[in-house]
Formats: sequence, C-alpha cells, structure tokens
Amino acid sequence: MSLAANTKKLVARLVLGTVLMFGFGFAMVPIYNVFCEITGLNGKITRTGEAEGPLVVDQDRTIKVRFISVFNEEMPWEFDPMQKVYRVNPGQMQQTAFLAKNPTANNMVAQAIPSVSPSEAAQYLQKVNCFCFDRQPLDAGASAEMPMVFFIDPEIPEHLDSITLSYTLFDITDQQQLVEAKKDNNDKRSTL
Amino acid sequence: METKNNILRGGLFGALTVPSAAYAEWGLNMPSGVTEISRSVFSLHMTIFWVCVAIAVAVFGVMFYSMFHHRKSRGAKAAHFHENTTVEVIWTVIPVAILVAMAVPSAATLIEMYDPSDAEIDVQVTGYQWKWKYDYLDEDISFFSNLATSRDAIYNAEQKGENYLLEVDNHLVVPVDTKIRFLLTANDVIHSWWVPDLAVKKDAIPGFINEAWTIIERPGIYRGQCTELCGKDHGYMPVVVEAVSKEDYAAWVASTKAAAAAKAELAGKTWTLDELMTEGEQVYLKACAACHQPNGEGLPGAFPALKNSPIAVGDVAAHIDIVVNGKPGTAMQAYKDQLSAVEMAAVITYERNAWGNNTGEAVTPGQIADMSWDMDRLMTVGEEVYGKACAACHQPNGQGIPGAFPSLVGTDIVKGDIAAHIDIVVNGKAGSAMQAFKDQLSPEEIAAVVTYERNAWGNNVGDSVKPSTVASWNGGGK
Amino acid sequence: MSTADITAEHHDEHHDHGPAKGLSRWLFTTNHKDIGSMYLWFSLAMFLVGGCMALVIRAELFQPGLQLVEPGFFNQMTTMHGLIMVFGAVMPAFVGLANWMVPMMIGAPDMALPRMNNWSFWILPFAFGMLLLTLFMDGGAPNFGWTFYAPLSTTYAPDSVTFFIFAVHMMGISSIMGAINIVATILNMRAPGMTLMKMPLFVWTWLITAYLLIAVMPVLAGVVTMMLMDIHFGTSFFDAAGGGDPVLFQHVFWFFGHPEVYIMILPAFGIVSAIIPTFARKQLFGYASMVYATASIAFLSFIVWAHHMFTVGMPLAGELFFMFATMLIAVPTGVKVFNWIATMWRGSMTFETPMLFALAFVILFTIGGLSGLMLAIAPADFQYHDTYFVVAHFHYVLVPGAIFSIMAAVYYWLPKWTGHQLNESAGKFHFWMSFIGVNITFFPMHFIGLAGMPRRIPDYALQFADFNAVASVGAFIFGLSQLIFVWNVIQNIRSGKPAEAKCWEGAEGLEWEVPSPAPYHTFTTPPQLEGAK
Repeated sequence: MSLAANTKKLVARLVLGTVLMFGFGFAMVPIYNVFCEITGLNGKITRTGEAEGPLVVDQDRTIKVRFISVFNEEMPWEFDPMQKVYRVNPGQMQQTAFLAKNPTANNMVAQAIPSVSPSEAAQYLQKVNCFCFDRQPLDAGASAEMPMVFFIDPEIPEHLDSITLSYTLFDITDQQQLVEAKKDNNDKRSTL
Repeated sequence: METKNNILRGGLFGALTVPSAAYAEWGLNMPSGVTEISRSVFSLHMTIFWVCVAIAVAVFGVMFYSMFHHRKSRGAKAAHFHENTTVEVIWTVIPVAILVAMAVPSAATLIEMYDPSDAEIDVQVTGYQWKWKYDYLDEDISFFSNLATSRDAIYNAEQKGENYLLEVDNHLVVPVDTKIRFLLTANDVIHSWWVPDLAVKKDAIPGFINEAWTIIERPGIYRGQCTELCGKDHGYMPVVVEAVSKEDYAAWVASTKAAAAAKAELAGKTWTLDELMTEGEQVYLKACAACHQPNGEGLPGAFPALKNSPIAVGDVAAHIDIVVNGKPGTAMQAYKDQLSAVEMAAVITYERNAWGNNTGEAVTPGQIADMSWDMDRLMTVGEEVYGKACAACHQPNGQGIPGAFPSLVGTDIVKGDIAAHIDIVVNGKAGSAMQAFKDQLSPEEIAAVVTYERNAWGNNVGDSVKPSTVASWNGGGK
Repeated sequence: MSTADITAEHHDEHHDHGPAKGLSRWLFTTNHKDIGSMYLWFSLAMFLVGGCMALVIRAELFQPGLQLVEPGFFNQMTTMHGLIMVFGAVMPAFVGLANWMVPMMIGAPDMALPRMNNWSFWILPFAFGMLLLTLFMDGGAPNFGWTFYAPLSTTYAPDSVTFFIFAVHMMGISSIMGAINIVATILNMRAPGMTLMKMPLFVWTWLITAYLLIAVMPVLAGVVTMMLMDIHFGTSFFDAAGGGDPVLFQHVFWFFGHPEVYIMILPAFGIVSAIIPTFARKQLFGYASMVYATASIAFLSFIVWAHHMFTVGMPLAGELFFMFATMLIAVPTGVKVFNWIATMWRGSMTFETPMLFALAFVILFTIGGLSGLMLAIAPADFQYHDTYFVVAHFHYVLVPGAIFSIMAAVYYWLPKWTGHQLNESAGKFHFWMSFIGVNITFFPMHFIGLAGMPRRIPDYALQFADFNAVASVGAFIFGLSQLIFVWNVIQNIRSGKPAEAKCWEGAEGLEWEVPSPAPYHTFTTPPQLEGAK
C-alpha cells in the first residue's frame, strides 16, 4: 500500500481509539456503581425496592443494628434516629424513622449519605425504602419524620453480629439552587 | 530449606532472648503498648526488624569483604564470570522463603485486628479541623477534646510542660478490660486517629464511617496524635485516652451526665413559676434558711426578714444584685460562685412569692446569667476565649490572614448587624472553615467573644451580647 | 557547554552545521545533547530550590515550638518541597541523562522525535515558574502535601490549587511526550546487531520506565482533572455529599503514585549497573536476570498501590492482597542487589567518585528497601503509617538512592560531555560530605517515627527534640555540601586535564568509542558492532 493510504489507515484507527477511550470514560459511571453494589466496597448499600419473594426469618440469631447521625461542617439541622439501636433477626422486616428539623430561618435542602461498617456487611443490609435515596428539602423551622424500612439478608455470615449505619447530613442548599436556576433557564428557553 | 529454618530460628532466638520490652523503653522504638494486639504488633515489628538486620549484616558483610579484598590496589585481578544459574536460583528462592515465613504471622495478626464483634462500648470519634469530638453512643455523653497547650508555650514565651502538644482539655475516658469499638468519621477533611499504646490507627473520612476496636489491659493515660494532614493545625490536635477501672468509669459517666444536665438547664429551657418555686424552696432551705429562717422572718438585729421586705417585693434588679453579688460589709455573701444560675433564679423567685410576698414575678436563669456579665467581664472573658478559640485563624490582632481567614478589624460583620455576627459564631458559615461554635463554647463564652470582637482593636461598636440571647439562639443549643 | 567549541575543530561529520549561536540555540535546539544539558541544568536549579525549602523545614524543626514560620506556611514548604523534588529535580535529571546517553549508547544519531524533544523540555520552566509563583498568591502556595488528598485539596484548598493542577498537566504532557520519544528511539534506532538483549542496562531500564510513564501519567492527569471538576464545575468525584468518595481519590492517585516511585528508581538501577562493572573491571553479573528483574518490578508496581492506604478502612481481603504483593517486590529487588555484589566479587576495584556514589547507593538504597519491607507488613504499618518512619524510608530510597545515582552518573559521564577529567579530590570531598550528611539527617528519623512522631507537623512533643535537632544539623551539612557539587560541575566544564575517548579504564559501551568531549553529532552513520556485548 502507498504511504498515503497507510497514513490514512493509521489516522482512522487512532481516531477510533480516541472515540472508544472517551466512551469508556463515560461508561465508567454505571460500571463503577454496579461494581460497588456487588462487592459492597466502601459501605455503599444496594438500593433495593421491594424484597423479592417471602423472606425466611432466622430466629436463632440477632444482629445489632445501630444508627448514627453525623453532621457535616456546620449543618445546623436536628437529625436523630427514632431509635438508636435495634436487635433484629436476619430476614425480619423492620420499620424505623429519622426525625429531622430545620431550626434556622432559611429554607434548606439536605442530602443524607449512608455509610455502613463493617464494609463487608453493606451488601447484607437491604434498604427497602429509604429517605437517603432522595434530597430532603425542609422549610425554615419545619420538621419531618423520614421513614426507613430495612431488613438484614439471611445470608449474612456468622461472624457479623453488629452493623453500624451512619447517615452524614450535608447541606446542599447552594447546589440545589444552582440546579433550580439552571432548570428555570432551560424552561424559559423552551417556551420561547 | 535448612538455611531458611536457621535464619528463622536465629531471628526468633534473637527477638526472644533479647528482652524486647527493653527496646521499647529506650523511647527510640515503638511502644509495646497495653493491649494484646499492641503487643502482637510490637513483636511482629521486632521480628521483622531483626530479620532485616540479619539480611543487612549478611549482604553488607559480603559487600564490605569484597570492597576490601577485591581491589586493584591490593593486586586483585578481575575474574571473568558473569553468570551462574545455580547461585541465582538460590538467592531467589531463599528470599521468597523468608517472605513466606514473615507473611504467616503478619496475616494472623491482621486477621485478629479485623474482628470488632461483641463490643461492649461504642464510641463515635469525629475529626474536626482541629480537634476531636467524642460521643459515647449508649450514654448520651458528647464533648470536644481540644489541645490544652497554651499559645505562649508554642511561641516560646513560656516554659513547655512535660506533655507539650500531647495534652487536651477533655480526655476520652474508657474502662479497662472492656471491648471498646471506635466508630470514626470526620466533619470536614480526612483526619486519622492514632494511639500508639493501643496500636489503633484509622482514618476518619467525611461522609463515611470506619471501625476499630481495643481492649485496654492497664489503667493509665495514653497519648497519640492526628496522623493525616488536615490543614494548618494538623500538628495541634492530640488524642488522649484515659483508661480507668470499671468502677471509676461508671462514676465518671454519672458525674459527666450530671454536669451536662446542669449545663443544659441554662440552654433555653423555659421554667414555669411553679417549677421555680419548687426548686427555689429547696435552694432556700439549703442556702438561706440558716440565716433568714425557714419562715422568712430572719433574726431581728442580725439577719433581715425577707417576708414583706422592700427588697423581696420591690425592684427585681436590686434583689437579683444582692443575691448574686452579696452586700459588702455584711454577712450577706455573693452567691454567684456558690449557686448555679438556675438555683439563684429559683430562690429569688421563691423569695418574691413565698410567705405572702406574692409579687407573681418569676426570675429566669437567663436573667441571672446576664446579670453577672457586665461589659468588663464580657471583654475580659471574651479576650480569653478569643485567644483560645479564634486567634489561631483570625490572629491575635484580629487581622486574619488575607486569602485564608478574614479580618475582624473594621469589617462588616463585626461592625454591622449584631444578629448576623452572633449567628455566624453560633452556627458557623457553611462552605468555609468557620465552624459552628455552639457545641464548643458555652453561651457565656460566645456572648463574651462576640462582645470582645465588636469592641476590640478600635472597632468600638459599643454594644454587647447577653448570654441568655445566645442560649436561646435559633439553631443553637443542640 | 563545551560542545560549542568543538564544531570548529573536530569535524568527523560530513555535514557542516554546528550549533546556532546565542539564545536561539537553546530555544530551538533539536540536538539530544543540548536538550539533555538543559534538562540537567534545570534539574540542578530545582534541586537547589527544593533543597532550600527542605532547609526551611528542618530549621523550623530544629527545636520544639514555632520559631521561624507559621504552620500554614510550613505546610506550603512541605508540599512544594515534595512537588519540586519529585517532578522538578529527580524526573528531569533522569530524562536529561536519557537524552544525553541513550542515543549514544545504542549508536543512534539523535532521538526519534527531536522537535517533540525540545518541546518536552521547554514546557518545564513555565510549569515550574507558575508553580513557584503561587507562593506569592493570597492564600499561599499549595499546602496539602505532595500527595494532595481530597477534600483538603478540593473544598478546603487555597486558590493556588488551580494553578497547581495546570502545572501538573503541563509536567505530565512533558513526561508523556518524553517517554514516547524514548520508546520510539530505543525500539527503532538501535545500531544493526544491537539486539534488545545486547543493550546496556541503562537503556533497558529507561525503556521500561518509559512504558511506566506512558501508563500512569495519564492517570495523574485524570485525577487532577477530577479535582478541577470538583472544585470549579460542581461535580462530586471526591465529595461524599454528592455520592462521591475521598478514598476514590487515594486509589486513583496511588495507582499513579506507586509506579511513579519506580519511575524514579529504575533509571538509577541502570546507572549503577553501568558504573559498577566499569570500576570493578568485570562484566555485569547476570545481565538477563537484571532485565527480567527490572521488568518484574515494573509489572508488580501496578498491583501494590493500596499499601499507601492500609489505614483507610479497606476490607481484610484487600489488605492481605496488597501486603503480599508488596512483599513480593523484595524478591526482584534483592536479585538486583545480589547481582551488583556478584559483579564486584573477584573484580579489580578502584574507588573513583562515580564508584563511591554507586556503592553508597547499593548500601543505603538497601537500607531504604528493608524499611520498605517493614512497612509492607500491614499490621505493623498501622504504627508506622504517616510517621517519620515513612519519611525516613522514602528519603533513603530517594536521596542516597535516586539522587546519589544521578550524581554518580554526572561524575561518570562528565568527562565525556566536557572533555575534562574529573577533579578526583573535589569529587571525593563532595561524596564524603554528602554521605555523612545524608545519614545524620535521615537515620534518626527511623527512631522518632517509631517513637510516635507524625509526618507533616511543624512542631512536636518534647521526647522527639534530640533526634530532630540531629536531623536538622545533618540537613544543613548535606544541603551546603551540594554547593561543592555545583562548583565541581562548573569547574569541570571550564578546566581540567583532557579526557580520552575511553575516560575510565574498565568502561565498555558505544559512548566510550566517540571522542571526549562528544562531538555535537555522533553516530550519524551507524557503528559496526563486533560480536557479543
């Protein structure tokens, strides 16, 4: 083949390679999530919806589940678990709630970030319904009771008998305002 | 194989016969610590160390021998070999064998460390810039632990104490022979909590929870430091664990809870007249009846009556003043140092309503607190608090560090709306390094420091803040 | 440099152009010798700047208490010292040596991509100029450690962080282009008859280092870009609030960071493998296993990164894996040390300055390697991590390791570059002062680390005072000794007895076939190689 043809082929391959690498970068987002959910790395928890099929409750074991609330930086909300410690059987559905109050004079938005210790327990703590999935807005002075339903997977290994679930509350009012502003702009544009 | 066993035996022999603890005493070595794990880690460290020493001695021995004997000036003639497969295989296999021998006890110790089950006490450790917060999760006890070494000592204006940079205001008190689980997280950046005597080191990561555990065998005070760069004062946030007997721990828990309850009383609790009367009667009987008599009639000529007295039914401020500050030249003491603000408010309320006095007036603890805080006291205490809690960033002269920490001299917040100033100290400023001090300073301290800032360095705004204002501040008093 | 003189006199070449005159020569040169010289001068300047920062640090740490600087500035010094030394002194020095020596060693006339070579160099002064100027910004220079963990380096960073990120991108581009150049040169331009297994070991180690650079510098670029996104564009890679994770930063950084430290030592191995055979007058022992050992170290360097993160809260399986993999690296490294000693064994040694530095490398790097082995043991590492024990370890492998090898290389090849024999007594004086200084500075750090002193603190508890004072004295001895080095180099350029083509009695290799000083263009026609090398 002539030099020109060879060069063209090489350029085509290099361009394709670049496009593939770029696409791979985008694909990392879902791949990373899936990987962390499967392995439970870093205490990330599976977002489950309803449990599949009836659960077999293991009456012979109790697992101690402790809830902790942590406030990032100067987050001024009050945020406490309704009950701090539960002793549940694996497979038993348990309902609980967190009481949140915004005592300031401003409307705010919070995000609760969960973290589980020990990290290998994360995959066994199944949250059927959790407020941590969504952003939580609270007006000035308002309170809310934020429900959560969970169960411990009966498959949980013998040596794990105590799980700690912490929620770190972050103030995302500023970021939310940015998002709202952007949305408003987009809406305005689309009505033109 | 033979060689490897000999090396192992030699290494273990060395590690065991030479009293390992002696090395720990020099202050040049890792401490062997006060837990089973810390002792395992120490002996692992010493074993590995001696293995490395043995390797170094062997390798350098051969090398120095060669450097001495195989030199041109001694007439050595260069040989011509440049490979030898047998020798190369040997010196690949032997290191692998040594490594396998090292890996076994190492893995065993690590597996032991990764078992936090059956903990009896849970303590949440939160790293802040630049202090630690400890929460005893089952006891509802929570406090900050700040460096106690003075700025003067750090800046060489004062002699440094024995525990320079390793002392704090509030120790983490724990019982011995009890499995304690630490749940670590952070408020802002990554910190790391380390106590060498316990061989516990774990990173505190914002948004995440980490776990570590220990069982301390001996009572004592064990000091450590933050071990992850976390900003300016990374070197100034030590860890002090005080291990005490189980009985002493129970006593400490009880007294700490009592003290916290007393503090909470002032923080915005609303007292009804009945509550004040009930409490007030107790206080009166305990602290006043000896002189003024249980029936309030006093002893004529010696101690004035309170029943129908002009002070008890007249101007409230004068009544408060005489109880708080006493009456110089008489036997009427200043009770501000003997009774809490709650007790004083209650007893004054009682005196104004008992024995038919019936003014119907109630005095709140907040009013009492405010009474004893005049401008002078606010400024004096405020300057102290400023030096302890604010000067590190805003500097002793109030001018801050441009680009990093704002100046407080002549700036909008300090000279403007006092509510905004109080709010930023109480609740902090989200997105910046300015923390919420409501959990770290009492309402009196905050009132004092805000007053100080508004009037120091030529700011001279002229206003001041009452402790009761801070105590009931929105978003405050958690 | 003296290569300018030779054009008028030594004309072996067929074509006639010598170097341009004046500043344009240096701005526009595509000559590997010129570019190598510029890299080396740049590296020396950065070494002195970074060294001054180290002396500020050690001066403050001479006594407990704060005497000279505030903690905020101290953090800037530790950060900048690390960045300047890693990216501005060690790496450019090795690249400069590669530029000078690799073409000559393989019998090539120049690098494969000479113009890109020029650009690779000229990026650096601008990148570092920008980085150093951040010292004058409001909020100060980067102060979050050379490892710049998030969120200290994102949410809580001073404004200079953006310029830091820009500078890192620039340095990264320089390194990647340089590495591509090296690979292309070595794979395509070797003289006929020089198979891969006949190349000098310095060329082999640089070939492998170049692959490491190409693999991991983009990862560094990725992590600083993610930082940039988090700081300025509202993303949450490292921010838990948005679903991100500060530990992700550490994983990505160290995936670059660990191979990076091997990038900083493999060329050193190559240098020592050239010098010891020369001064022992004996061929390098076990050439093939040296190549395989280097390749194994490079491969293993990709799977050990989390040994920098043992305290971060990794699952047990992860900790065990990284512990075992890290311990394994001791094997090929040990093989190399044994091979060097076997080269010395029954040789006929003399101890000129390059040999002194090379032997000191073997001894002191081994000490650093053994403390590294101790650090690999994860349960023990819980007591060592982020203390001065780690500082001692990496300074041993970097200062009497990488830096000594660079000085050894400079002393070794200076006569070839300048045409003047070394002033041996001056060289030996520099060596002994450095050797003594380096040990007084860093050996005590093992002890204070074990006794409990954390890293990156401007002030310390009283029990650490004595050894800190000793280390500070050592630091000043070592620092001032480097002025001897500067003097030696400048002296050698300007004067000295003429050197022959083969400057050292036992030297072997194509670079010793060309005259000293080396002509501006060498091997414009490929050399004829005689049989086995």
